[in-house]
Amino acid sequence: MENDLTENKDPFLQRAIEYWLDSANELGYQPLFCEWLISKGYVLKYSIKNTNFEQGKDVLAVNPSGVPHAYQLKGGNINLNRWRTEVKPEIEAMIECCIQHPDIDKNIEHISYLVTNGEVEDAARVEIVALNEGKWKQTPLRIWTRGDLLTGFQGMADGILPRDAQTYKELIDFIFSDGTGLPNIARISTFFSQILNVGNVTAKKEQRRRDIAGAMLYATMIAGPYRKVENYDSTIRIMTLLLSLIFHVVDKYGLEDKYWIESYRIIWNDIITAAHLLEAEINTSGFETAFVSPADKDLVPFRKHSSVSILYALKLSEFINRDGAWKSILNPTTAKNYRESVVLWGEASFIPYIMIICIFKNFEQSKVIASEVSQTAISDILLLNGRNSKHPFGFLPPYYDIDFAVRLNLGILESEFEDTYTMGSHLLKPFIEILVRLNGREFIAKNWQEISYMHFEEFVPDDAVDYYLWKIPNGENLSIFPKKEKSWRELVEESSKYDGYGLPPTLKRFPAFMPFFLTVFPHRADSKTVGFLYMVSNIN
Amino acid sequence: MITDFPEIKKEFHKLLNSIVRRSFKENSPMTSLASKKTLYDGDKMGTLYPNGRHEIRELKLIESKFSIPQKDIPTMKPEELISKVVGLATDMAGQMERGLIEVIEGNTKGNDSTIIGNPVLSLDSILAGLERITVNFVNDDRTKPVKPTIFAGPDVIEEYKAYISNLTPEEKEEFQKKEALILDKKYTEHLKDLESRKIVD
Repeated sequence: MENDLTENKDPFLQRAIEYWLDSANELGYQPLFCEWLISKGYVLKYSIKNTNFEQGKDVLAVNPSGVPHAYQLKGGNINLNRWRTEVKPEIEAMIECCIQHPDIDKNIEHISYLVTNGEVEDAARVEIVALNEGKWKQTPLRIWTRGDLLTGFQGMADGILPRDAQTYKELIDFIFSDGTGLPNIARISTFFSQILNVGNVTAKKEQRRRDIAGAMLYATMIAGPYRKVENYDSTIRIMTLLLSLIFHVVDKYGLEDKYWIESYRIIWNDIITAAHLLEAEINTSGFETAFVSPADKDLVPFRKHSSVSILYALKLSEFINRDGAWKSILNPTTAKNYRESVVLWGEASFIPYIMIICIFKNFEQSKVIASEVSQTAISDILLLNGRNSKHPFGFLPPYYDIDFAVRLNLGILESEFEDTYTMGSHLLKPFIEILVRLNGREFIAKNWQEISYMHFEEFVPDDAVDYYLWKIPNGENLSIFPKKEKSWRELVEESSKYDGYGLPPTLKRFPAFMPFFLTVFPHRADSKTVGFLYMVSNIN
Repeated sequence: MITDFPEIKKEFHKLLNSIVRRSFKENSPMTSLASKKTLYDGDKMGTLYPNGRHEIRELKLIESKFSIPQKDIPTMKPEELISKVVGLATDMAGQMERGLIEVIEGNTKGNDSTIIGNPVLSLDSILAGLERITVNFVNDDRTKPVKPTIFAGPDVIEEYKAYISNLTPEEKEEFQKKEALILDKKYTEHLKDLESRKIVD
């Protein structure tokens, strides 16, 4: 591939990309590297950093002429010692082992690359040159270093720049944010929406393709501070937001696959990779290392909840994709650890319950757990939001995030909180429908008296594709008053109608994304999304 | 420009906002009693009633403003500014209360919850009003009825206070007996309503 030198006229952005690239590790720049390849017409075959099955090949792509290219990605400088001990064995495997992929003809020699965002020091370079002239003469190793990556990545930003000075400031804030916390999804959403030209109805499809590449660049930069400290939870939230907005553009403007499907694969792969890393961290170290400050006594339960929400999303996603890795949730220690980490701080905090139910409902031996969990959710909502609640405001609606809940809990909100949400609930109706599907008539009949006093709250967007927006301008805030005397048959009929109607096409096409979507967008959990998730997680 | 103190100005505006909120609350008794919710999505509100009726309402903007001529700023006293801010809050509160009354009137028009005519606020009219409304009981306990709140103009309230202070003990006792009878009836209705809330089929 030719590295076309781009004359980027925005020195600020060049510096920003440079700063990000220098602080990233190989996992940090891998998604953008893949996006860069596809923007040059390559077809990505896989990108599997961090597994043992890669035979030295982190990324595999076929160039426009049909020649396969294999890439080994590294972070930082490579001196002679690192070259000999860590890198060379992997490079040898990459060069010497032919590519095992059903789409690639083994008879075609592949081209191998060592890629790093640092430099290959002279002594190591000399050794590589010698190998290229000797043992690897037929298939010499090519090297891409910091300068090559920088030029390529800067080129992706061409013409896709923050619109104004204020947006630049936002970008700077994001790049220098404290990566140990949760990202401000609302602010990042506004930024991504600008880059993706969400509201621009006249943009050509080719332009949208470039917008998506640009958004990938900025998303990777914004996720940079979080990746740097291995804050996978926050990284996943940023990439899930990005994918949601890309899906919004795809559905809204009817983009054919060729404009975005490869980007989807890269982002999805990145989300799953980060989720696996989070899972490995929690399963190995638990949460003991989380206690580093006296404030953690109050904060760790919320921190645990946030991380475990992601893991439940991962497990359900694996389950929907028929990936056997979901079974780790059946391990009694893991199950206990996860369940005990769920803290009920608002309606958004019930999302992990939905994930548990969607998996456990499928097996005779665990169906009872699914039933119990939905009963617990209904009971808790009635207790805090029901007519006899003594709570000053009830469960916070799913529009309020965990950061708000922590501040409210600690009494450190900037302004007085005067809202009251008792007598209503956003998630009560979806949980009742779940229990109806699980044939929980006895429990519902016993509690209907209290349920009938509640109003079910839901938001109905004017346009289904807007589900992906963080904030939807047009739509109805609907309060549904249930019947005092309710027919069970009617409840069953109502609960069985959620087959995906009224949802965006991409959400139905990629159901395994939905657990992550609802974890990051809990305010989009309603009868339609939860009902559809329940349906697609049926194994029978 | 002459160096400014933007952060201090921010704090100043925060203070003014808190005065607006407090003043708004004081001048909107009905709104203040109603539960407050913040909307984050959408441009309309809807209600789907048990009988299937679907009612959609557009959101209504309530706003008010005041201006201070630049020439007056140097000599403006704090109490003058506060008076303007309170005036703004009072105006908004008035709009909100009037809007709420319109909604209540719209919902009660033509049904049995309205007493025709213009009755004087008295024990009899209170009992007549009590007859017409649904009464809830805390924890379904007869001894804990949730009695309604009376909203009226300041003159009417003053007249009512004077009227109450002139009541004889016998009149008060008579009122309590009548009220208890109505509440007994309401409690029976409440229990019947509770029983009707069930799953059938």
